[in-house]
Amino acid sequence: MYDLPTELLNLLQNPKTTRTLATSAHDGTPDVVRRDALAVLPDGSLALPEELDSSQTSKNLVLAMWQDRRVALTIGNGNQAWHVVARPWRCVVAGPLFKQFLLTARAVDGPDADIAAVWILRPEAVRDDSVASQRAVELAQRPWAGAHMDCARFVRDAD
Amino acid sequence: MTFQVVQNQQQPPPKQPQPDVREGLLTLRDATEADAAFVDRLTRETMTPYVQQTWQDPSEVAYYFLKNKFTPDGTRIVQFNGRDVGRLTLIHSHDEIFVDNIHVHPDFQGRGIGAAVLRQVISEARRDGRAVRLQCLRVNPAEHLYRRLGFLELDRNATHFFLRLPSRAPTRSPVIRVPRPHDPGPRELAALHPGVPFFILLKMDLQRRGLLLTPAALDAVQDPLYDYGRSYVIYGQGDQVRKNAPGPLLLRDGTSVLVLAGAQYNESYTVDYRDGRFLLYDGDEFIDEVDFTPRPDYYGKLTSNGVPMETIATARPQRLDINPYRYCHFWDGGNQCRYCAYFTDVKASSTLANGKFPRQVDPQDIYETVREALKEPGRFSQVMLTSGADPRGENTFDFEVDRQIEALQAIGRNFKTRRFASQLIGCGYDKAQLRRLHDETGLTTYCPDIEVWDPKLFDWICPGKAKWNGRDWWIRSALDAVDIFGPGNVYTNAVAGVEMAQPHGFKTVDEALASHFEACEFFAKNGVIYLSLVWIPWRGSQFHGQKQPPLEFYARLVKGLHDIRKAYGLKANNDDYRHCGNHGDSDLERLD
Ligand code: SF4
Repeated sequence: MYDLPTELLNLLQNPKTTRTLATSAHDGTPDVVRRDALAVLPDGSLALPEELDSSQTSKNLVLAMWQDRRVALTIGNGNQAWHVVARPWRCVVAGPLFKQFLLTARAVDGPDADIAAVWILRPEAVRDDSVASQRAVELAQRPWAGAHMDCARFVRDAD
Repeated sequence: MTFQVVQNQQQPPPKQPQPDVREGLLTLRDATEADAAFVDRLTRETMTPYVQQTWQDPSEVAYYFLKNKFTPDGTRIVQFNGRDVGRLTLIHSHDEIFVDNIHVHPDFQGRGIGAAVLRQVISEARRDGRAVRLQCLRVNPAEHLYRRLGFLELDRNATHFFLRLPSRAPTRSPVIRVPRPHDPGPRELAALHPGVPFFILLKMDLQRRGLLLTPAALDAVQDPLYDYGRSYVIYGQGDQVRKNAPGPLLLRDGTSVLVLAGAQYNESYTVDYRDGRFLLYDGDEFIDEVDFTPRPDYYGKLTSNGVPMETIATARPQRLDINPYRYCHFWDGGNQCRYCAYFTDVKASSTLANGKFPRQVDPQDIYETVREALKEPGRFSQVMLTSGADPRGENTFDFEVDRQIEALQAIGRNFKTRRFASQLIGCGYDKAQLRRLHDETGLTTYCPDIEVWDPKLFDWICPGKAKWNGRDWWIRSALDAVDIFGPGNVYTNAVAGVEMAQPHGFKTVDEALASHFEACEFFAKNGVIYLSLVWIPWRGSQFHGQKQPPLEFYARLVKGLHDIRKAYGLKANNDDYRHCGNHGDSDLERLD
């Protein structure tokens, strides 16, 4: 399992951080959903409560588990953004962890809120996806190939 | 003294005293069905005095002999100078040999025959680094022999000593693989049948073959998080008595597996515990990380009548199972389903509960248990009721229906809504009874189990159902229930594989599958969900010792059943992976 960088762990502690999950169906159809309840567990894995077994996301997570596929997550806030590739590792349907996420959902959305399962995802690859970081990489790898020549940083003021 | 294993031949025990074991030829031969009368007589002749000293209740005595009834599986006949003089029944597992029964005819006792046979077992165990375990009635003087041979007391209860002769090498790790003929396992079959994932194949194989816990795993499940209380299975096998058993096994994909940890099966999987994780092995091959269902909060609490709530309702990961009447009258006249060990289970549970296990459960206890269970956030999303069959009443099954109505009404008092997520697995009821169940309770789904589709096999395998009131009646009941509960709210289960029991069952997997698919199609057309369960030839059932179909049969079966139901737009929501854990075919619906 990949250890998540501290910046990303800090980001996951911030309730304002946006979290999305990308999965794919049997026929390859992609599916992207926002899942702001995604949290990090003490062992560094990610926990994702799912409300319904019948959601496309749940089905795709089952498929990923059964076919050993990976899912992708984006975690972002302001100009910070991270991309995580993860392996669905466990589907938890009862017990202390399940209860903890259910109670959190009920605290946020009221006593009728419910969850069907908590999915444990094990990160396998992490990339700093912020524009600044990507640009730095781009500049380091191919300083002349990627940018238009009329960018302010290239063009000299007229004589 | 010489030991050799010879093929079958039978002679009655002689009346005359015989020479000491050193002066004769002691042999063991494999038992066959033809030995049943000899062995059962031998068991009575050797054990009756001790059994009667131990239990005054005639039903306990009867139960003892029922439990120890002859089965050819694992049994050898002890011969002295060519005469049948005893029996030895062993259950092998990877790390020990369990001596299930050893009896020497009274005319031959005191001649060293039992000791010689046991020494042979011990040397076989030592060769493989295995322990030997047995249990004996406390009043049986054979206990002294066992202790002389080096057996140590593991535990004792009011009736039994539990003894074990440790292996020479420390137990566990590496696991010794039990050789078995090659039958493709879950991984190989997942590659051959891409529509059936590894996890579902593993679940069904676990159901077929069972599992054993290593001492480390058994210690780990004593943690309050996992402790499901005493298990009659572990207890019944004399296995690590006074230790508590875990609940249903959980695979990583969230599927629960209803499998008992104990020596009920052959060639079981093993669960070990290392570095805070439960690890599943097949022999010495690591299979996957697994877990056990956490103990629900209501376990350990008492109802206002002082009844432990876990004896009123048992918990699956998301389902409460309640059995309002713990007796099946089909057993009264020997009409029980031939694969069933229900009576054995109930008696063992009763023994565990020191006899405080009445047949009929008080509805108030049911009400209070459900009330308490619902206090745990998010733990339960369904209640399932079942019970043994009771054909008594003005109309057949009236008593049973009355009792279920009482229980359902008691449960219903806990809910604001008229209906609540519930399933009743019951007998085939008539239309008026079904109407009462629907109108007088909050029941949402009904399940009269057909068990076996083929008419002739139904009559042979389910004599009780055939007698009260026959296959057509049970089918009619399921179809009538659709009019009342609605399409998709009526289920029926088949004990898949039992139709291949011999001598009358199907001879090929293809015939058996064709029968299931015909049944599924018939029921689906009529709005009934036909599900499969894995057949286990339980000890205590008439089919103990029968051969199960290979795992590939189940792979083809679950795919076929799933596809048929899907074509008819039926989904087994009540028996899905979270609630039931018994059906590979409904687990496949997770992708639908
Ligand atoms: S009806 Fe058949 S399967 Fe059910 S408890 Fe009775 S004998 Fe067993």
